[in-house]
Amino acid sequence: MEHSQMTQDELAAALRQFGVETTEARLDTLLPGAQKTTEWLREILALDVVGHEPSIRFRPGGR
Amino acid sequence: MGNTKLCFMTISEASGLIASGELSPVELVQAHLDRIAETEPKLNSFITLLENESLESAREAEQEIRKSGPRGPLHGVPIGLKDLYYTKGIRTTVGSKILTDFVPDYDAAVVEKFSDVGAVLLGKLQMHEFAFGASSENPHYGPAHNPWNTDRVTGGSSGGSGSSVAAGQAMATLGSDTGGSVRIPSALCGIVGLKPTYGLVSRYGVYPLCWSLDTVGPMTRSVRDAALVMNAIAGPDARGHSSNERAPEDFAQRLGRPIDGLRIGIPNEHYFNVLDGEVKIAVMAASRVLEGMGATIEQVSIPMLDNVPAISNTIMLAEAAEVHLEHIRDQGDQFDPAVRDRLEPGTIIPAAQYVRAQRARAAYCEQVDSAMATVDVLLTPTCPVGAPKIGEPMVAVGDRTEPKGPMLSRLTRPWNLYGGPAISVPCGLTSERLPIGLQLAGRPFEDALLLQVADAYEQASGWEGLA
Repeated sequence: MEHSQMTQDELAAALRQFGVETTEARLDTLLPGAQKTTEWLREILALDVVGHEPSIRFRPGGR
Repeated sequence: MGNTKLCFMTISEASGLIASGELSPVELVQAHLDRIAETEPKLNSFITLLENESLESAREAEQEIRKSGPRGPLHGVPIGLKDLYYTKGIRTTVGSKILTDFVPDYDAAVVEKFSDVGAVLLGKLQMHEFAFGASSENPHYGPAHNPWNTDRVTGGSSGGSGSSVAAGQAMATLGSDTGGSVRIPSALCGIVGLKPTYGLVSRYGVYPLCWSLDTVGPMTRSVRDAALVMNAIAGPDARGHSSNERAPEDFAQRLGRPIDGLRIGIPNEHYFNVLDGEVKIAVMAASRVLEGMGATIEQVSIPMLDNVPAISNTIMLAEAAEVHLEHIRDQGDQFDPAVRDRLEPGTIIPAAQYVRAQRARAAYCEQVDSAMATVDVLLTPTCPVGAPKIGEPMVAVGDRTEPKGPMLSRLTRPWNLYGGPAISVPCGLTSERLPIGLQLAGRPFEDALLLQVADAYEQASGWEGLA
């Protein structure tokens, strides 16, 4: 499956949802970090998680 | 006994002298304050020093001990806290400019527990801003400097906690560990640092970085001292959302027992492919020491170790960005720019990616459980390199040059994601005389077993710190 890299416009729109306004220079700075999160997603999506729920080990009463 | 010598005793040694009346808590605390005055200009371990308050607490401890004996081994012992533990009436900056004037109106659970056992708080310690970094280079309060070489970082994020213990400024400190922030500075500063099993120590009143990974842990000059601190701070707490309900145990109970017959695993994956040659030699030598004591060494396989950075970065960044949403939106210009630039992209991680990362975490934990079913503890390096230079963003590892932060935490993160205990113990020096850390990791809630193995190694290693 293809995953396109995030663009400056998409990053600006995503940040705006949280009330974070950005300049073009700031977007230039942030874009590599944002694209890194997309790389992590790609790696995680390739993992076999069938049969696994989000871990409950780390909740009170968990193991 | 000379003042400096007092500062390099272990808690075990000092508490015996206090109990027998040979050492006064006032003398001990004053020696540490003198040591701080002498070394602090070069180290910058403290954000807030509590000189008068600590002497007053020492006087109270002295009177009580004279009258009715010590409450326990930490009574009258000078300790320090990373500056993210809430302390009533004492500012708690979390290493930030944003919270530079924040004064909590209550104590963290561990601060209450230290108070209950009569420990003396010397001050609040230097850290990476909001615990979001592995070097403790802090533009607001200045970098923490490594006592072994002040041009080098302490590691982080609990940098002041590491430098103060290594330099004899405090007998024990607390750090917090989300991706290695207790173990990294412990390794780079040549001390012992324990990340306990997740939930064993209450996080109530600890400023969060990432709720599902944050852990409170002791930093000391010996494994036994780490066990003594754990005895003081561990236990259930209804106010701590991740606090486990298990009854407290004696973490020193197994110390000194032989380790023959214990099985020690070395992971095939991840740990030895990007590593300084001197670190590898020291860690493999440590494995032979343990083998010589009767433990068996075997290889284990945990294929998903290589996926830990993607999984844990997704979880940590998403949670950390949520913690700081309002700070990012309203006070973004007050962050350390390097912290802000790494934190802000966390706001845009999709919910489905976060949940998938938590599912991947469960799959990873199952793999570690399988490996841990065949061995008692795992043995690895703590950090791939000795302490890097302050101000340099990249670090050389073998024939590669990598960003400093991810490199320092790449070997510690797997145990935050797993949730079991992990400890760093000094295991040698590089040719530049920089400490090397041996990391041992165990099954959840087998912290006492892990301390037993670490103590056995420590006793055999003949390690001498800076004293």
